[in-house]
Amino acid sequence: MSLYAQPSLTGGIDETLVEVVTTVNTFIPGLLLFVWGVIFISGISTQKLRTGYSDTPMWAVMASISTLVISLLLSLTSGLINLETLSIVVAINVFAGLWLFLSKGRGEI
Amino acid sequence: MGQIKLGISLIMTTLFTFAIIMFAVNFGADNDASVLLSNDSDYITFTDNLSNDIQTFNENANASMDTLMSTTQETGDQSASSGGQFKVGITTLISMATTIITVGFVKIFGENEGFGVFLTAIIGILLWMIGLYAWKTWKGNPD
Repeated sequence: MSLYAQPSLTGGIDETLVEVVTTVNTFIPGLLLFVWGVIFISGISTQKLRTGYSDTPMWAVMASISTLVISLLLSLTSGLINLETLSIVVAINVFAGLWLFLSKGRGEI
Repeated sequence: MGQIKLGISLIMTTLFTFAIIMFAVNFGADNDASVLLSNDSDYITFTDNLSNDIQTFNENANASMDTLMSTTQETGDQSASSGGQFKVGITTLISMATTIITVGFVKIFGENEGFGVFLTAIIGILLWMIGLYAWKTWKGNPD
């Protein structure tokens, strides 16, 4: 006897993912947050290790754009991502861009 | 942060914002996505406002440049004291910045009025900085 209702795998990986998302609503936001955090933290720590200086706003933009691309791919299938999550990802992109451009002097970017 | 830096930053932020939203909208339209950013009415209003601001900025800048180019000065004339050519676009820049901050804020924090204090603080700091730069330009260093 299993601890939880296992998703049906006969419909292909798409339907399995949709079933998982239907059961666990925070799966996709959690996945996107994970991707954002991995790129952001690994980016700033690696850059600091190599150059002694980390460009935090630039890595925030890199992480946000990567997350946006994944969100857009997820938006192709119905049921994986909802409009609110997609909107928040775009809004975080906008804020990261605002932070990046306000943090740089002329000639720095 | 210098005055030119602030101005260029706001312009670049506006263009970046416009590009990101248009990319998301057109990706959905091109690939017939089931979740479309263009279904979000906030973003449609937002892009309309932003494109109007950009258009106004463009027209103002062109008109100001025409005025500057057609100016003549005779020997002994007083130099212009208004500095009008260098004040072009300040209102549209502020409008663009507040539009960008507002829509980002609404999307992340929602419409709850309780969070409005953050938005008020951000816009207040922005206006305060712009006021200081204006003061610094006309009257010297305020430090």
